[in-house]
Amino acid sequence: MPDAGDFERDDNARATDSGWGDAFAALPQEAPEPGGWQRVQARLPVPAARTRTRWPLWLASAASLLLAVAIPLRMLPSAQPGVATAASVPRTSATPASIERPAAATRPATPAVAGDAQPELAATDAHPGRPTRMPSPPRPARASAPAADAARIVASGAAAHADLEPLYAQSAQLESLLALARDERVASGASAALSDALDTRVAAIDATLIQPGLSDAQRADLWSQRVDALQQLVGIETTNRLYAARGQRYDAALVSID
Amino acid sequence: MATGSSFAIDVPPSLLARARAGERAAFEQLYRRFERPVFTLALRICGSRNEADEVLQETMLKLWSGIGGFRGDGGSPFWGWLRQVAVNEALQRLRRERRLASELDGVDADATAEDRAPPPPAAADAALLQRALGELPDATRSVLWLYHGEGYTHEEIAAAMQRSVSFSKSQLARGTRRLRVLLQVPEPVASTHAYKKEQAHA
Repeated sequence: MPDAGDFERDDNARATDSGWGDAFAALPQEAPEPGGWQRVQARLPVPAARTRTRWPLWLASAASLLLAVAIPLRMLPSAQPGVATAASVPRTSATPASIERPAAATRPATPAVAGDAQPELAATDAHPGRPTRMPSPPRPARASAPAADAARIVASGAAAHADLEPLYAQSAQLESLLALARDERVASGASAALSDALDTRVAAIDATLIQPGLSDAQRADLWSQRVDALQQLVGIETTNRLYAARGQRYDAALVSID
Repeated sequence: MATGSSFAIDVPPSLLARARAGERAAFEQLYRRFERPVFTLALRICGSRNEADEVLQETMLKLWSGIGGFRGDGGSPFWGWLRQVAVNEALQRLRRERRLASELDGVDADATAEDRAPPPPAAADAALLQRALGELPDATRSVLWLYHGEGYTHEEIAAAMQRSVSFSKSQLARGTRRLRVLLQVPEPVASTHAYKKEQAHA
């Protein structure tokens, strides 16, 4: 294929000086139908790595809604007996040793009880009519999160919290709340994608937590990150429900915020 | 002769570099810049807007996948490379549908004699000229457009159409004469005699 190297040469032998070239050049350029770029774009290969530049805004919006929605939900133990049972479990077990078992009721991949799926099954059975997107099988899979991801988490900086008990309790409470709040029937595509990303994040944290040799500061930081991720998850799920109850679309709300 | 091709658009090297790196925004800019030249070229060669639109799509997809291969060696411009992609795509479509066999033929002695006479005044009427071009066979119209509209040489046309140089010359000569007829202007007798004279001397 010629690379246009000869196109601009002055070729005296050409007969285009006759004027035909000018006549052809004077013809107007034609315009294709609108939407051509969109059609081309649709046929371009999907980029390997999706941009995540918008996620912080989405997550921020979900986190801000958490305060308005998640906390009031937790305040309704009398209205929902099942909620009261599940949510009250962590409160009654404040020490780390006793927290691990109740927390495992919805979070079997928690480091101390990574292989224990029974409590979660019990919690699910307590609310058979309420679908949950947090079954026991996906949690063990978190233990196989890439080592690079785990290393990144460790390197993200150690928090100064020496006392992990509040974080244990908060994490367990959020897990309980998350198990109740999740309902795929009201999930939208965008919120499901966000939830999956946060699930992966929690899984990576769990995988890191079971690694030996972590310092107290690192463990505190990881637990803090875990609580943060769970808060965002609960925010998303409860907001999903809120919008569904109002007959609105979660996606539309996110877009309007964005 | 400096070509009057509508493709002759300078593209900043930084934009090319970004497109080469796979940045879609940069590629979209390239698309916007060359959308109309590619479509117009495809329309002139293929003759229908639907086909031209398909050629545009395919050309741009090939641009996306092949822009990494463009190096601009020897100072060749990007637009020339893209134009060649578009020409090949349009001609390939004609070839696939065996429409390149559709050409003007004849047994006239001066089949390859170039018509150096100026075009008739009616050629200045864009609508008339486009209509006349539309009535030419696909292969003939392609040769005329590549030669007069894009500044290709006969050698380049022959290579692109996978035909001989004499094919390009004869189609240019016959097509130009046919255009004169279609534009309802009699062929200038004086110039014809001059060509025959030149040929006799040659």
